[in-house]
Formats: sequence, structure tokens, C-alpha cells
Amino acid sequence: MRGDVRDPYDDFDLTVSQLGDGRYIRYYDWPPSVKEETPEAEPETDDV
Amino acid sequence: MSELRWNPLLGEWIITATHRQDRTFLPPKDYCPLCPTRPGGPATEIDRADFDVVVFENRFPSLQPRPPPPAVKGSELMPVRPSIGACEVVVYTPRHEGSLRDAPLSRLRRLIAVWAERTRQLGDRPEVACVFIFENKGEAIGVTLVHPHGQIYAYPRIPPVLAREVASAEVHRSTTGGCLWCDVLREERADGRRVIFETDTWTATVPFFARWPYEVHLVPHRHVGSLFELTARERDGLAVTLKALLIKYDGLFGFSLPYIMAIHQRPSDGDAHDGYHLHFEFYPPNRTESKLKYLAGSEAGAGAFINDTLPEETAARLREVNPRTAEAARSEQ
Repeated sequence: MRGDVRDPYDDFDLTVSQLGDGRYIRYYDWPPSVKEETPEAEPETDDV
Repeated sequence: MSELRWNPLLGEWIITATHRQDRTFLPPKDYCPLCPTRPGGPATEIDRADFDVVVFENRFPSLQPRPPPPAVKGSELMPVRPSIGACEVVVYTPRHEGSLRDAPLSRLRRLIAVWAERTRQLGDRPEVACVFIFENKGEAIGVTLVHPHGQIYAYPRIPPVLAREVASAEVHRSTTGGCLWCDVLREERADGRRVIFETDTWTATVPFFARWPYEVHLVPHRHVGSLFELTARERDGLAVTLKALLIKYDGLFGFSLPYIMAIHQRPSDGDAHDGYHLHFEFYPPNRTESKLKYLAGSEAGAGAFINDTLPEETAARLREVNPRTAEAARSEQ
């Protein structure tokens, strides 16, 4: 059903562990080549 | 105590979850349970000093994979069932301040990937009939934690609003052969008065039938039922459309606008639901800068919404907010 090109954002590293009370916690991490993130905008900034 | 109780008058299940009365309520920033656990600081829900996007099982779940037995005995008329399902918390960022509107497009894209993965994973569970992703933003909505986050409920039955949409879609498909959302979207785009933003893959409108003054729906142009069916290009378009809408919302009255965001996806109960069409719905409670719309007599008592505004006028107002930013958002595809 998915489209033509594999989404690079699906290539995350998933680490699943359990908290002290047994609940599951899932950490999603992406390689720097995918993130390419600029600093997050301050709330008053309209830049996207 | 947590269980499902059947309401035979409305034909719907009610979730009781009395333990949620004890959940954390607007803690000071230093004790936010959604911040990373900093060295030397108090332990939070997140046992890392930093993270990108994190999802964990809600400490105060309404639905859970291994629910306790119901506290009461039901009857044939009013049965009771265990509250099976799942409730998860999605923390968008390690930053305590801000909102989803402050996330750059790359973070929105990562979040969309997480939403898609959780939809597929939870929907594959045999006990889950519907995966519902949502965000409550702002104290006016009743949030108990201000750190930017959303939630996921995996219901054992299709919840009432989605069930009504499924039924409407099936009626429309059987009478016209078409998709209800595709046909509504075609009319909205042809009319244009209620369209507030478009990319080549998504359209944002104040719908013709809006119940809330600044209600906005985001609809993908292609007929898809779930987030995990979107192409990379469609996810790009979704990120831009989300960002543009949130910028407009925060520019509307000059403050960070509260809202409910509801992501409606095709149910996972085993039926095909081929006529269902993925979409986002936003319901801000503000009808003016200082006045909120409450669910009062007609809405709460009769289920009949009264909108004090014209969707054509609220859409025009949203179009006018930060038009240059909207252009910038579009150009980043």
C-alpha cells in the first residue's frame, strides 16, 4: 500500500526497555543524515 | 478500578478509570515527568538524559493490555467488560517549553514516522479495533502536563465518532460508489471559500459543517486509510500542512491557541473499511480571543452542535493570518 519511495524517516533505531513498574518505553533515534535538524524555533518565531 | 460499561440508551461503551483521579496535575517545571531525567535531578518517566521522540505506556491508563477484572457484575442489558487495549504517551521533544508549532519540519516528519509505526504495531494486536492518536493542548482543554506531548488510545471497539463516520462512509459508498471524504474534499476545493491552506498532497479546510468556530480538517488528496500508507512525499506534505496550520492558529489571537487534535484512521478490527479516508481534525475551544465555546445544553444534552460563526468567515480569517509564513511552509516541501 505504501508509495513509490521508502521514507528515510522510517529508518529509525528503536530501543525498547521497561520502566521500574514494568511499563514499556520506546526510544526512537535517527541517524544524523536523516535528522539534519536546524535548532528548534523559539515560540515567537514564524520561521519554518 | 477500570472497566467498560455498556450504555444501552446510546449504544456505546463507557470507560471507567477511577485511578486517573490521582494522576499528576500541572507539576512545576522541575518536576515535569515528561522531561528527560537529568543527572542529579529527580527521576522522571524518561530514564535517559536526552532523547529524540519517546513513547511509553501511560502510568494512568484508561485501557491496558492486561486489565483487572471489572469491579462490578454487569447484566444482559448492561454488560461490563475488562478495559483491554492500550494507552500510550508520545513525547515530541525533550524541550519542556513550546508546542508542536515550534517543531521544525524534520521533527514533524520524525513524529509522523512514529505515529505510523505505532498505528501499525498497535493495530496488529488482535484485541485492538481502532488506534486513535490525539493531542490535548492548553489548560483550556484540560491538559495536566504542559510538556509538548500527545497520546495514543488503542480501543477494543470502534469508538462512537469513528463508528458514525464508518457508517456514513459505507452508506455513501453503497449509494454513489465513491469515497465520502474524496467527494467532500472535491466540493471544498471547487468552492474554495473554506480552504485555508493547500499543498500538492493535502488540503486544510474549515469544513462546511464545522461544529467549532475554528475547527480545521486536514485531508490527504489520495484515498488512503492510515498514516503508514502515506508515501514519503505525502508525509512531507502533511508536515508542511500541520506546520502552516499551527502557525496560523498561534497567530490568530496572538497567543498559543489551545486545541484538540484528533487523527482519524481506518479501524483495525478486521473488516476492510475500504471507504475510510485518513484525516486530521482540530477543535480549538476559542470562539473569540477571550471567549470559549462550551459544550452546554444542546451539545452535551442533545448532541446538536451550534456554531456561532460562519465557516466561510473563520476560514477567511485563518487564510489571512501569517500568509507569508504559509508560503514559506509550502516552499519547504
